[in-house]
Amino acid sequence: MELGLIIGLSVIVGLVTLTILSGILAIESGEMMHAVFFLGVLLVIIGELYILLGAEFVGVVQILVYAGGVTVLMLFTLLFIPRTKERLEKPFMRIPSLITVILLLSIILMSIGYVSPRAAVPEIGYENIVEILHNIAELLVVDYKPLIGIVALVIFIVMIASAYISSVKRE
Amino acid sequence: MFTEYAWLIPFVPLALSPIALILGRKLPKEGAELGILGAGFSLILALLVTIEYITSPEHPASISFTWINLIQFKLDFLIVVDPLSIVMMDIVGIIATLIMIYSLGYMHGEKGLARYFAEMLLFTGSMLTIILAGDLLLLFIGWELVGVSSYLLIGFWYTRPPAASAAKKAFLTTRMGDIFMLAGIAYLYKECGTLEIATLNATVPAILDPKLLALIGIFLFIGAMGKSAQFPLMAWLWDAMEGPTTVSAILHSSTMVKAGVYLVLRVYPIIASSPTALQFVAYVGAFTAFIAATMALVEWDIKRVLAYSTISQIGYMMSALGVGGYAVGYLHLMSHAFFKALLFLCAGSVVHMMHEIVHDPWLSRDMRYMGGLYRDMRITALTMLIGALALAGIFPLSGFWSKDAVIEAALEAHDPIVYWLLVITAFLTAFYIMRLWFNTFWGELRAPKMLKEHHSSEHEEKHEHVHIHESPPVMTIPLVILATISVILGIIMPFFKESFVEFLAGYLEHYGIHLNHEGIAEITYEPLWHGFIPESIPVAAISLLFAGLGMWVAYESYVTRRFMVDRLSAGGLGKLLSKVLESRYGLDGLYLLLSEKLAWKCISRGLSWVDTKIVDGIVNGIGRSGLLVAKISDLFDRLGIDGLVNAIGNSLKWLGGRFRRIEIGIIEIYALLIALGTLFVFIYGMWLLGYPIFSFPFG
Amino acid sequence: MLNEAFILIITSVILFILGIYGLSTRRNALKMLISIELLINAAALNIITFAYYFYSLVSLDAQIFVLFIIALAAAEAAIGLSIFLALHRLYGVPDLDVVSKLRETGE
Repeated sequence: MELGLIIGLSVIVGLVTLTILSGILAIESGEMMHAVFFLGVLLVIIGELYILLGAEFVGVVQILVYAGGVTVLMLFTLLFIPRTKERLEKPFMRIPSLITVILLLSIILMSIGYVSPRAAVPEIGYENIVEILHNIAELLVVDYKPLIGIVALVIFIVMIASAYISSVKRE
Repeated sequence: MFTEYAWLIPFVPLALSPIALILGRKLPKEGAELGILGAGFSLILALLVTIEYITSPEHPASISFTWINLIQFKLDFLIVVDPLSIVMMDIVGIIATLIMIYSLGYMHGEKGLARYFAEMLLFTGSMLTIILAGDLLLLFIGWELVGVSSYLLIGFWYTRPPAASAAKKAFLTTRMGDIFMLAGIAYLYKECGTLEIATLNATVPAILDPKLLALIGIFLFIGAMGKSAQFPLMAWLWDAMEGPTTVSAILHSSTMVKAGVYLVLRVYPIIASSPTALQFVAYVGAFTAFIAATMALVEWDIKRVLAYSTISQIGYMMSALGVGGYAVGYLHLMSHAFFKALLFLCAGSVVHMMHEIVHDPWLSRDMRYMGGLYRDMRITALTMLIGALALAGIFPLSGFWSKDAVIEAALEAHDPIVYWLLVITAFLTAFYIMRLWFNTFWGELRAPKMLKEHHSSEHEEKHEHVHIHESPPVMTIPLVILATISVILGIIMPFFKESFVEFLAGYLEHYGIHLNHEGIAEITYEPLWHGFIPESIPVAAISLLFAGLGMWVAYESYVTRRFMVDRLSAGGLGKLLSKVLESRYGLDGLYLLLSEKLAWKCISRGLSWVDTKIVDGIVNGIGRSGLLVAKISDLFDRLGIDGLVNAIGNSLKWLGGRFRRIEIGIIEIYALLIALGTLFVFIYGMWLLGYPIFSFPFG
Repeated sequence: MLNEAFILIITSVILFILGIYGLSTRRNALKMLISIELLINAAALNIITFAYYFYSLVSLDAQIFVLFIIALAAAEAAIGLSIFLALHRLYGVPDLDVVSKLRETGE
C-alpha cells in the first residue's frame, strides 16, 4: 500500500481512537465541566471526520453549530449550577444495560461482514464550493421546503419553550 | 537512498518538540536529551544526504512528498534537495547540535527547561522546513513557525516585562515584513497557478512585465528584510537580546536571520530579472551594514554589540546578492554563521561568569563592568579572539576571504556607493569588535569599582569575592569546535571556493543565469551613481588596511589609552554624534511613536470623535423614531404575539399532560428501549435484505 | 475490506453503544443529555459514512439530512438544558432518579 494511504488510514484510526476516548471520558468524568469539554472535543473531531470524508459543508456546520453552539450552551448552563461531583451510577441498572450493550454490539458486528464492497462509483461532478452551496440551497428550497418549514417551526417553539421553562422560579 | 527520507530532517525535530514539552520534566536532563537527539539526528541525516548527493552521478532535483492521501483530501508538499539546501542544512544542523549541547551547561538550573528545549526543537524543525521547502507554501509555513519560535524563545523569561515586550516587538516587526511577502506570494500564485519554486523561478521572469517584476521582487525582499533585520525593520533584533544567549546564538546570529538571505538565494531568478529590485536589495543591504556598525561603536551591552554586528554582516550578504555576487553572498553566510555563533556562545560564557559577580541580568552584560577576564578564562578569551578576528576579516580566517569576496563583487559591479560603504564598515567592524574584546578581556576587572560607585547601597552586603573561573567543558567544547571550524574554513576556503562556486552554479544554470568563476552572476546591475573606485588596488589590500586601521584605533583607545575616546564624545560634535548613535538613530522611538502614539492615540481618538458626534447622532435619531414604532408594536405585541405565545404554551401544557400518561418516568428504561428498538430495526433490515445473521461471516 | 468506511461504521456503532450505556447508567441529568448527544452524533456519522461509501462524494441529500439532524439536535439540547436548569432550581439536585420519584408521588 502506498505511503499516502497508510498515513491516511492511520490518521483516521488516530481520529477514531480520539473520538472513542473522548466519548468514554465524556460520560465517565466526575466533574461536569470536564464532561462537557470532552463532548466538545468529540463534536469537533466528528466534524473533522466529516470534512475528511468530503462532506465539508456538514463538517463546517457541525463545528459551528454543534461544537460552537451546543457546547457553549452547556457550559453556560453549568455556570448556573453549583459544583457537585456526580455520585456513583446506579448499580441496579449496570447489568441489564451491559447485557443489552453486548448483545447489540455482537449482533451488529456479526453481520458487518456482509457489507459489499463498492461496485461502480457513480461520479458526482461538483467542481467547487460555490457550486456545492448553490446545489444545497437549491435542494433545500425546492425539494425539502416542507421540512425546512417544520424545522423552523420546531425551533421557534423550542425558543419560546426554553425561555419559559428556564424562567421557573423556586416557590 | 537517504534522500528519500530527507523529509525526516525537518520532521523529526518538529515531532520531538511536543514530546519534549510533555515528557521533558520527567527526564533527568529535562528535555536536553531530546533536544540533542533531535538536532543530532537531523545533522547526521543531513550529512548522509549531502554525501549521497555529492557522490552520486545524477541526483533527483526534488522529492515530491504526498503528506496525506485520503480519497478526497490530498496535500502535497515539495521537499527539494539541491545545492542550496544542502549547504544550508548542514550549517544549521551543525550549529543547532552544538548549541543544544552548549545549552545543557548554560541553561542549567533554569526553570521551564522542558519548554526551552521544546521551543528550540520547534525552531530547528521549522528552520529546516524553510531550507528544504520546494514550494512557497511550505516555505511560508516554516517561515511563520520560525517567527513563532523566535517569539517564544525571546520571551522565554516571560515574567520579565522587557523580555515579553521584546518578543512581541520581534514578532510584530517580522510580521510587517511578512505581509508584503504574502502579498508577493499571493500575486505569484494568481499569475502562475502554482507555488513551486522551480516553476516560478523559470517562468516568472518571462511572464511578468518589468514594473510588476520589480514590485514582486521588492515585496519578497521586504519579507526577507523583516526576518533578517535590515533597515528599517531591524529594531527588533537588538531587543531580542533579552532572550537567553543560546537563543541569540542560534536564532539571531547564525540561522533564523539568515532565512531572509536564504529566501533571496532561492528566488534569485525572480529578483535578479529586475534591475530595480537588485538595486533595492544592494542599497538596503549596504546602508544597513553601515548604520548598524555605527551603532555598535557606542554600545556597552556585549550582546547588543553582537546584534548590531549581525545586522551589519547580513547587510553585507544582502548587498552582495544585490550586486550579483550569488556564491559570494552564500560564502559569507556560511563563514559568518560559524563565527557569529562562536562569538555569541563566548559572550554567553562571559555573561554566565559575570552573572556570578554582579547578580544582575542587565549589568552582567555591561562591558564597563568587565575586564581582565583573560587571565582566568583562557579558552573563552582565545576562541572569542579567533571569532573577533574572523569577523574583522583578518587573514587567514574565513571572514577575510568571504568579506573580501563581497567587496570584490561590488567592485565588479562598479558601484562606488556599495563599495565604499562596505569598506568603511569594515573599518568600523574591526574597531567595534576589538573594542569589545579589549574591554572584556584586557586590563583589570572593573566590576568591583563600578559596583561600589553606582550600586553601593545594594551591594555592600552582597559583594563577596567571587573566584573567576572558566566555564564548564560542556560549554567550552562547542566553543573550541566552532573556533576550529572557523580556522579550518579559513584555511581551506581559497582552495575550495572554486568548487563551491561550481556547486552553486548548478542551481542557477537551470534558470539561465551563469555564475562566473568568482561566483558572481552575470546579470544586469545598474549602480545608481558612477563614482570613483580604486580598481587597480587589490581588494585584499584595502580591506586589510582598513581592518588593521580599525584594530589599531581600538587598541590605542582602550588598551594604551592614547586616544581619549571619552573626550571625543564629550565635545560638541562628538557629543551630538554619540547621542544619535546611542539612541539608535531614534528608531526605537520611531517605532514607539508609530505603534503606540499613532495607532492608539490618534486613530482611536479620531474614531471616538466620529463615534460620538456622527454615529451617536444617527443612533439617537433612529432611537427617537424607533420609540414611536415601539409604542405601536407594543400594542400589537401584547394583543397579538402574546396571545399566540400563550396559546402555544397552553397547548403544549395540555399536550404534555396527555403524553405524560403514556410514559413511565424512569429514563434508563428509555435507553434500553432505544437499544432494543435499534436491535429490532437492525434485524428487520437485515432480514429484508436477505442476509443470514447468526452465522459468523468475517470472510 | 479494511478501508476507512469500515472503521467509521464501527466507530459510529461504538459511539452509539456508549451513548446507550451512558444514558442508562448515569444519574446526572446533564450526563444523560451528553449521552443523547453522543447517540445523535453516532447516527449522523453513520449516515455520512454510508453516503461516502456509495458515492464518490458525500451526496448532498445526505448532507442535508445530517444538517437537519444537527439543527434538531441543537434545539433539543436547548430544551433539555432549560429543563435541567428548571429542575435544578425547583429541586436542587440534578438527580433524575429522585426527581422522577417525586413526580410519581406528586401526581
